[in-house]
Amino acid sequence: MPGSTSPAAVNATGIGRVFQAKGGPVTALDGIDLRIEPGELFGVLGPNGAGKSTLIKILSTLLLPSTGSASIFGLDVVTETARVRRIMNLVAGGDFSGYGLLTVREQLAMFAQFYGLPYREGMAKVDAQLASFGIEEIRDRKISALSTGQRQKLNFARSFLNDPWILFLDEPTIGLDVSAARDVRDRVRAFQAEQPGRTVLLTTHYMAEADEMCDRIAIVDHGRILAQGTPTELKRMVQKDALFIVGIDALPANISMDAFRALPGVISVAARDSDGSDASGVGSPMLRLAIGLKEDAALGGVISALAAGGAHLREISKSEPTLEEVFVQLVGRGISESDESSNG
Amino acid sequence: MRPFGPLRGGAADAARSLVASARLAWAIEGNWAEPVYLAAFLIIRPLAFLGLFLAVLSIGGTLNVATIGFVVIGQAVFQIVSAALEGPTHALLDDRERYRTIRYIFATPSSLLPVSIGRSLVKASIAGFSALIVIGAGMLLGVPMRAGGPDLLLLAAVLPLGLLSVVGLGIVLGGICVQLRNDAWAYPQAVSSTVFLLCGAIFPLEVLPGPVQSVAAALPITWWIEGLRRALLGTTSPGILGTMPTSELLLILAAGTVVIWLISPRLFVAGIDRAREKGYLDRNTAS
Amino acid sequence: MGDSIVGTEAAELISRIHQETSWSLGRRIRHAFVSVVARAYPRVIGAAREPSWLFFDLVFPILGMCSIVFLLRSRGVDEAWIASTILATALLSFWISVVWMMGAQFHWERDSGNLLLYITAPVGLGAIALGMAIGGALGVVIRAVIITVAGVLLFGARYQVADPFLLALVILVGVAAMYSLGVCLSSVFLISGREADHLGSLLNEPMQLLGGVYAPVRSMGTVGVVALGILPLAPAIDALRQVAVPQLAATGILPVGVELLILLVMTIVFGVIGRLLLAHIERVGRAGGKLLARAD
Repeated sequence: MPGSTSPAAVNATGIGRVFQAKGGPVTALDGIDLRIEPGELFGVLGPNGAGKSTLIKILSTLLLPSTGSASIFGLDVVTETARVRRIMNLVAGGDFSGYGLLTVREQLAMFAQFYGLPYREGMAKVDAQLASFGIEEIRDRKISALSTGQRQKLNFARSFLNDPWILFLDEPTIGLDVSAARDVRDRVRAFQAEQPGRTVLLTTHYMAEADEMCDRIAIVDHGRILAQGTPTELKRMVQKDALFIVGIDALPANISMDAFRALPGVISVAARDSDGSDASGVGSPMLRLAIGLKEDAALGGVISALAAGGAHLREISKSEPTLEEVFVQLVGRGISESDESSNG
Repeated sequence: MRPFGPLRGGAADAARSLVASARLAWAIEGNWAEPVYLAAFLIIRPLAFLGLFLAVLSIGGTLNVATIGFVVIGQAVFQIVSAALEGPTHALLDDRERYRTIRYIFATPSSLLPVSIGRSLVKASIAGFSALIVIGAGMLLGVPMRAGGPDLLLLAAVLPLGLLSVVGLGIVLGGICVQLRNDAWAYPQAVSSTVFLLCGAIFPLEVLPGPVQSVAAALPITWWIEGLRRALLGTTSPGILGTMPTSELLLILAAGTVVIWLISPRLFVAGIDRAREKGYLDRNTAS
Repeated sequence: MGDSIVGTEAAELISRIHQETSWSLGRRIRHAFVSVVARAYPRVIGAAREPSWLFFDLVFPILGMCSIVFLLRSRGVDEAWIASTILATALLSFWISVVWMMGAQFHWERDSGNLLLYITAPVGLGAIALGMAIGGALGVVIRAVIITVAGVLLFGARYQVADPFLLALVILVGVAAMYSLGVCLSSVFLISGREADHLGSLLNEPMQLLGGVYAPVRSMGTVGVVALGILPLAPAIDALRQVAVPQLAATGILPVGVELLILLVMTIVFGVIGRLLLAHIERVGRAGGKLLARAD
């Protein structure tokens, strides 16, 4: 956690990256400080052009930082590159690499050798990964004949061959259908669960993906980290209290809104909207109350009070801000608007 | 119903597409990261070719300026020939595999034919610069140009006819290569190398075996090179090429060009259609 | 979601990782050897699965050879020069392989996305380059043999090889020197952009001229002498001509033994420089961000 003195899986201090372009220098990263603990699944979230890929390229030794320093499990990414590459792997989304004339198994076997695995052990791992990703039946199919989803599974299978201690995922589900994306997320979670300490750094601009997968998230825009924390912590920045929507037929006559507000743990109560019956007269009216609570546990008291008053409970739901709302609050615009502005 | 098969959008649209693709070709070919590479490629490479052939010729003894002139013109023209011959194929394959835009161009009302022609013409124009460099080198080596300067009338007739004939052949080649999955990139150079062997660019046709000479004489490019030798050097080549009166040479060149253009657009369109049927319009040749 | 580990457990994990990542020299050498074999494999398998390459890899050099032979015959030169041309074309196959199948390969690997995977793997680019060279070598040998046979059959060339061992040594050391230079070239192509294709073209015909492929390097005076010292093609073809076509022995610029020594030194020097250059260029590429930028 930030400020911790425990050894980190990723420790980046003051990372900056400037590219020389024809129109002048372009600052892709500007003073990034990042700390990821061993075993975490850390997300870097931001729109296109925020610097996510640049950051991951620096940490995965593909790019040198212009300023600052970074280490992976205590190994400097600039001066101990060879050692870092022995414990890492990388999957980039939309990646169509591979030799078309090789079969799936041959491609994986080749990389097993590159990763330094003894032959027999390498082949055993290849077969295990083929089974794990459910692509055994295409093991003898040429790479050129694979679909996008199959290629990405092959990509992931390759990335797990050397049991990396750190796995960099650069927008890994881009271009995948819902089912394939879900498979990928499940497999990443299973990979981490197999061995404590395995760390994953994921970049994405899919908010829901980050929310679902990540232990902690850093929101990045224009090369800077705007905020970082757990998904819940980030959402609390927008909405500090728990908010529940309770639908009832009508407010009991013996309970006033003020009385409601006086209940233990209740911060605010507001009538949100009410249903009218439809044109044909079907459906009975419903009153929705937006109830702000200091903590989730206070909901029980509210429901009891309503039930005691004779209210008929129709629905209950928790209203949480989304990461998109967090992003808007931090940046002042939505992620799609950010994409448009960065594209010029 | 298409007004004229190969030009599905009509003549005005074809002209517009041709101009647009020529501009694109200029932007692509002229977009050099380092000017020194541009200079090296346009100047050093053709001069190296010329030097190579002259060095080989000098094995047989001292070269006279007539021999040098023969090789200079042949080599200069062939810069344009190879660019125009290979250009449409490279443009199509580049659009298909590197830039991945061919499917989008195909989906427009425009035809790929004027697009390919436009790209080819620009490549040939840029190669024309290399051709001038080679001719300039020849003059520095003492090759005497035609007394009184180039025969402008002959030049004005021969130059466009020959260029058209080569571009026509190039688009046929493009139509063939786009139907291929493997080795598509290699065919244009194979054809270009074969034409180089046959067109009398660096040696008289008489050196070739008998039947092969007939094939060589049937190529418009052979007559194009001969016509340009006459226009620029004022001399004729040794052997059968040299015995042909200039008026008949022009007739053969014109007839060949007309025949090529009667056939090539339809062959090109047929090739594109076939590639579409096979699903090759958006496939890579390699992986 | 993952369970992070902190404190002593994290420290122990990191200590273990540091031990795992410290490879001994022996392990690194073994790994490099295995990586070379692994990278050679796609070349060999690819050639076997798509044999059409053989046609085109033969057509171009044979057509080029025919052009030069007809050019020579138009001048009525001694048939010994025809024999020399055929051998030179065969040896040229290796040079073309060095430029396009080795040198330019990293450029294409970058465009296809494979370069990223090589760089992030614990395998040096030198091993990859060597693997590519070895994998392609078998195909090039086949090509060179077929070109020679085709030339002999088409043009009736005759050879008088007094010392076959010397001939084999010239070819072997000449090819080794060319491939060593190829490692240097691969580093240049590594960070080349759109100009890479044209850079490759520049390494064909101009090198054929400077290398004395068809006309002896002696005829180029000082330029020829300089070429002899820096371009493996020059001493290799000069020596080959002297050994296989004794009628042309007088055209050699240096004795065969000296040229063999030059080639040997080139093999070692270019090999060392290439290895260092690859590492340096990789670092330059990582610093400038050009290593993975697509050439458009």
